[in-house]
Amino acid sequence: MKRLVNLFLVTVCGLLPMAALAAAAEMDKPAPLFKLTGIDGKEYDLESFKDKKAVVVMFIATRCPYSNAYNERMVKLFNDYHGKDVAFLGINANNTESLDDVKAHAKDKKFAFPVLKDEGNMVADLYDAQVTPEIFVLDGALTLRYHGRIDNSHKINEVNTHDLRNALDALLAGKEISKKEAKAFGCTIKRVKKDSD
Amino acid sequence: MILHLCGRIFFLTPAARLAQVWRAFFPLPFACCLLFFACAGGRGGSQSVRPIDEEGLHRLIEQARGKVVLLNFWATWCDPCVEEFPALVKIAGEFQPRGLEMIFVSIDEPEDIAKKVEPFLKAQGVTFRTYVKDVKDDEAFINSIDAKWTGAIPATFIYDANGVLVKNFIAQQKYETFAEALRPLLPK
Repeated sequence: MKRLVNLFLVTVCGLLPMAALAAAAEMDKPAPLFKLTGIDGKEYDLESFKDKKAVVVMFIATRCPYSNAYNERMVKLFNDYHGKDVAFLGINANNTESLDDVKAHAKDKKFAFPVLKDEGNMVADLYDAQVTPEIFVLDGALTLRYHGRIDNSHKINEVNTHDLRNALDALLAGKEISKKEAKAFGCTIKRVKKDSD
Repeated sequence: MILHLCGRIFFLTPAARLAQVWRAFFPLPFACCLLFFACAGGRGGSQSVRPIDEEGLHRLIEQARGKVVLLNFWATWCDPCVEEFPALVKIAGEFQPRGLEMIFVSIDEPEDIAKKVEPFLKAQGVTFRTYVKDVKDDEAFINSIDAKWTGAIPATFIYDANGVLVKNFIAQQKYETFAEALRPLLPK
């Protein structure tokens, strides 16, 4: 009987989705692991980026004016940091934006970093990402070290605080990040509607 | 006709001349007033939208002390906000007569007021106060409303008559959710 109960528990737990088992992203704690397919058809496993100097996970959108205001800045950040052993992953978790939309947008905006489609917003739920753009910076041990905005304004002429750059520079220099969280307005991630919605 | 009027005025006494001019031009300011109100009425119930900063918004909330306040943040480019809007217009229709104060703040750009915000509000038949955020520091603005707010919109905050924040909704809500939160705070 005991063996049967154990077998039942193992089976049920094994069927539970990863999102239900993993903890949400918490500052200075190991970030939730995930695997997603990129728009290039390749599978990207967060764990394979372990031992990078940093990993920048960016929740982005194709039709959000706030996210789109940052397209060029994201490309510039990638160009400035990928040579310094920093990985960038763009994630589109919007249920309202198709894989074709995401592919066309990434091509049009000349994103050189991998863009992943988060079908069913599983990773957005894991990280409790709410808006686009929203950034999570992990260190080489995949510990969450920074969460929030890219900089203080979607209007490039009003930018005077480069929060993401500051976080990356501190990580690369082995220093403590002075501002670990920074908020900004953004477009709500359009999640799959649940029965309760 | 003007020449005829001028000719007649020339031969009158000063007092009679003044009376004649008054009678001739009195309808002008009256017509201007009529034109102004006609234009205002032609906005379909919406009102002019003004930019607002952090200090101005908190002053508004403070001035509404004694009333229950529903503060909503939205934008024309935000799909869930646009989907939520009819529920809020319905809330206004039902709860404003019971004393609810509604303050709406759009996250659109101040330069989009005439082009995007006002036409949207006109189409929705909005009668409550609406502003467009005009601040330099978004993070300070977000935290000044609620430290738990991430900045995601739509976001709705309900204050009781003492000005205390009693409820926050950080996502799209249905009419019934707002109504359930408001009913215990307002007289029947």
